[in-house]
Amino acid sequence: MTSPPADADSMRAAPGAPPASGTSERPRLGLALAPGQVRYQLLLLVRNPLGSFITVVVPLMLLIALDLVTPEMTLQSLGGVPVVQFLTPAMASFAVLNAGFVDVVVGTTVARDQGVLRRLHATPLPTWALLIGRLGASAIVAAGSVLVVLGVGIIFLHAHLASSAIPGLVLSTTVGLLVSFALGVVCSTLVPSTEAALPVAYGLMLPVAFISEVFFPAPGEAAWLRSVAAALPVAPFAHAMESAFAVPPHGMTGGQLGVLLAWGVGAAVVAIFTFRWEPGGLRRQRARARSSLR
Amino acid sequence: MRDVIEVHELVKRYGSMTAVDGVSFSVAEGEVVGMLGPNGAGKTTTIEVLEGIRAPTGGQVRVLGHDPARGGRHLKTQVGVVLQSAGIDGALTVAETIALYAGFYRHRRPVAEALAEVDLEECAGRRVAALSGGQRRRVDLALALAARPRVLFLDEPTTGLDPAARRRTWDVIAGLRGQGVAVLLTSHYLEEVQRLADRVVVMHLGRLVAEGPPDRLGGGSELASRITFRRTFTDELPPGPWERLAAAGTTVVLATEDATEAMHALTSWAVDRGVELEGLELRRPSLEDRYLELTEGGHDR
Repeated sequence: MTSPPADADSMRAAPGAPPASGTSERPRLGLALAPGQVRYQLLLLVRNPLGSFITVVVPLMLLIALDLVTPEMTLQSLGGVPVVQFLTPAMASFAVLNAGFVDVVVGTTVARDQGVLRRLHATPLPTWALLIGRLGASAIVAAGSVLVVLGVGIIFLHAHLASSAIPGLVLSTTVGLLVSFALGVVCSTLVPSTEAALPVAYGLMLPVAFISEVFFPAPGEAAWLRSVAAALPVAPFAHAMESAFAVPPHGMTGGQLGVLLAWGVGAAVVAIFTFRWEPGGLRRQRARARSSLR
Repeated sequence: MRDVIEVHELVKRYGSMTAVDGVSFSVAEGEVVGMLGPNGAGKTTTIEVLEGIRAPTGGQVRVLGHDPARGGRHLKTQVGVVLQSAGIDGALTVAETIALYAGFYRHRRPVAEALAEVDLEECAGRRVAALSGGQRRRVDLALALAARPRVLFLDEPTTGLDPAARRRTWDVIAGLRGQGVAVLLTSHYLEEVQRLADRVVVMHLGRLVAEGPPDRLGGGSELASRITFRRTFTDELPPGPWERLAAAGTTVVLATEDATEAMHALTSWAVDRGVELEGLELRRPSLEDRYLELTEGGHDR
């Protein structure tokens, strides 16, 4: 049996003890690990057909399908613009929500549930480097998806985007992605298992997207529902994206930015305190520990 | 040798359940310590506390002089881990996975060397999802070695491996000892612990019930050698320096702490009476004998 261990400092000073912090023991800079995480997450996305389908194919499919069923239609509620002027940015925002929210919820939950995060937690990889890697990969996928949707909308469906609206569109995409990502990380901590990840992610996102006029404008929507949607993060983001294709185009309003920042900062703070590496919640972990003792 | 893993009166509770109850032991540089115990003995909980995954309820633990829960990245840089249950992304190839994990360390093992260490060169380009359970376990070991660790926690590292792969893993672990790496190993394979460990700690119901070199585990009466033979005669055995143990059928098992004198007395008696001691055998108790004795009787709380 052993005597009580000495504290770290006195142990370091013990004769014959190897240095506790030699060059070989210094961890690599956390920032240097982030690019590897981006590449890792991109590889996973590329090799996961479901991820690619959700982030790229679904928004593109919806854009084409909704445009096909509404030929020559104009939207009086948006000043008489062709419906494709609404659908193109709307589906681009849907692509960002898929890349930044749905895919983050599913990917993080699966990695946690399968013990991949647990394995990574045993390494010197900092939490923030893991999340930056995940965010970087989501940003690349979201940017690619948005470009594909906009490209198809502009080139093949004849949507018009004024060059002066591009900076506003980039800002809206960036803010929308960051907020979606922070909410996705928080949501992943609430999902109990891999099986529940996709239903929970879409179960939360789709109803909000519907009342936020992501799929079609709803001028007859009840005032209270419109107020609820305006206070949630999807409507301000989608409307900011759509405004870049309005005639004349305009950018994100201060009110929209304020709502998005409130959600983004709030979600980031919650994510910092609730992110976990271990599968299941505390209750599930305790149950597992108890069952192992039987 | 300096102790690099120190556990003193460790207690870990989950609500009213006590998983680890006042356990103390240490592991020195270049030492392999095997941790034995039945399922639920508290082995994995102890290792998870040492890895910093779980916080202890009481007692003190130190790894390389640091509290594992607070050692942070500096400590993790020097510690390799094979967890009992942890995942590896199936979509990556074996080489990509090792490169990813090796990339976390300043002084890392080259991917080719790590692959060779666990005999997975031929699987380098194969997706992890396509590997067998044993091959995945070897990838897990390669990831733990990617860091060139000073301390290695191996929680059932050879579970699921075929005999050849298991022996290869033993060679790797023995080699690490030669490099001064401290290894804490849990296993259900007693042969593995007998072969690898310099010392064994046996846990049962959260408590440490024995500690010592594998061939001297237990101490006292547990060190008794066993004399066995089949009884094909009706004569009563004479009194001697032995204790007769319960045995099935015609088999007679005698436990003795003085094997030479006991064998002399027994064979002299048999020669004098003209009886044959069929299948006469003298053997020292194996680690398995001692382990079963410790965990199946006399140590329940």
